[in-house]
Amino acid sequence: MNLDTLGKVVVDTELIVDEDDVRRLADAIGTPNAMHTALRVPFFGPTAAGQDSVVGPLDMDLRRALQGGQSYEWHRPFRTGERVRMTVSIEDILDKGTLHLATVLSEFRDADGAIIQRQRTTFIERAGS
Amino acid sequence: MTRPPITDATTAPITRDRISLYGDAVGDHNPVHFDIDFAKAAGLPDTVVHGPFTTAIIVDQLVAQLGDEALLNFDLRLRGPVFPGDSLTVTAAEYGVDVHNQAGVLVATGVTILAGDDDA
Repeated sequence: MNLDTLGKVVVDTELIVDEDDVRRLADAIGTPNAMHTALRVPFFGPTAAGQDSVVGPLDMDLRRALQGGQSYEWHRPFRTGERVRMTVSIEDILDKGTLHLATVLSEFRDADGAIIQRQRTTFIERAGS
Repeated sequence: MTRPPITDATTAPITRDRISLYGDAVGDHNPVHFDIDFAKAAGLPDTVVHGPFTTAIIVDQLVAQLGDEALLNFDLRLRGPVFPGDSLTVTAAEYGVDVHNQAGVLVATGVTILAGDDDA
């Protein structure tokens, strides 16, 4: 893991909350209230940003890395069709010798700059052999 | 204010088809979720369910019970891997929920903050 990424913004972009994408996520969840859930646990962020924008800068080896936690701070659900600004940054990195832990903060704001939600994703990487 | 109760609830099995749907929906095709040989090379017995998908399934159980507006914060610690075919049982814990697989293994613990908690 690249410990020098602490504090860096790795994604800063605008995107549209696409109804078809939300529906696909709801289909995977597969329950009667899945559409409500899908608008709270978005399909973007560090997971979708993925290899290029989070895993890449962190230089994580996916064979030795896993997700250790996920937290949400909801201010409101997303609305289909709305434009949101997503920023993803490396909020914290801990070097525990045989383990490296990174906390990735994703913030989502509406067109007026009001916060919609914050996510924190914790990745754990075992030291290489 | 009294917190609304959370009753035990068990999810449908997380099939490979659903994992594939999720991967397509979010664009996450990390081989550890789809390629058994890759997963075994990483020391796992099988592919693992995406952590955010596990989280989404647990959040869905809470939304179903508490309603769409009640959840303000949710902090989930993934304690163990979730594999294809697993069903998850969500039970109430002191500050949120515990989540076990069908073998009774604790796979996640979550802390919730609900609307009205500040009024307690």
